[in-house]
Amino acid sequence: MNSTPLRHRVAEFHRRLASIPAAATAAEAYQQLCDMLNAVEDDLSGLVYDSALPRGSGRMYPPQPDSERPDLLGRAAVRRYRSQGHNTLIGDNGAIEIQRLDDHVEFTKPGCDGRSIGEL
Amino acid sequence: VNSIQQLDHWLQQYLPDVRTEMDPSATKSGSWHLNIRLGRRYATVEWRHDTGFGITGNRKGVYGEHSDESSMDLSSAIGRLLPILLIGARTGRRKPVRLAELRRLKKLSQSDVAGKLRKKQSAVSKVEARGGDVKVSTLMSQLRAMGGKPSIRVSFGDQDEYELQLHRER
Repeated sequence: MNSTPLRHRVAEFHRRLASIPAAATAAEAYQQLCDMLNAVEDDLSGLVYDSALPRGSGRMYPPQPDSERPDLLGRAAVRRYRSQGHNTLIGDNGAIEIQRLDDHVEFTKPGCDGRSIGEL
Repeated sequence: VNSIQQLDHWLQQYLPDVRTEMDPSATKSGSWHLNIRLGRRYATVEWRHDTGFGITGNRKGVYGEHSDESSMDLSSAIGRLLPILLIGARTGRRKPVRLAELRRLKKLSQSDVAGKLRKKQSAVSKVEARGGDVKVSTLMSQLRAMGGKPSIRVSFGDQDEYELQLHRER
């Protein structure tokens, strides 16, 4: 099976994640993000999900639960998950934001109350 | 002090201009990250107790990508980071390239390569046209004639890679 280029898969992931209703809780938002990224990769990457999470495989994987960092400048309503080149921020209201390490925002979606990560 | 903290100390000791930022895990099993910058060159290092170091150098990764390369121990991680930080080496998969494309990248004509091999230009052309169906020794000779140092590597997974020795050592 041919794979779709990585950047197109990222764009599709953003499109699908933006198109579903906002989550009501952080746990629900985290699950939405994981499910959506795995679905896009199952559909388009041509690479099978490997629970060993191999490095350099070319498949995108969602942030792992144990990558959560407890501190975020005292913002108790926001959780941060670190991955290789990004931070994924998830709010208690279901808001999601994906930032590069240089703080450039690649994706943002408000939570169920309409507030985005920057407003929490 | 774990291995990635040792790496951080080493970098700061031996590369005085390096800037590092540690992003520690909250759990014992989780991954630590070290962001490293030396002038315009940069790397991110991930470390887990069970899988060792993952390294990405001079490349902004796409969301969800894991590190490009693995190094199990501290000395091999340092050995990989030095060319990344000092001469700007990049990590990551390189695109497969056809033989003719590689020759053109090296700005060589078929006649140039043929001359070095003392063969006709048509022989070089035939090898390029045959693609994968070519004797290994012929392919190696042609790559050497282009100035390359060919080798065959085989990977059986993330950290299980070998370079194939094609003849007995004398």
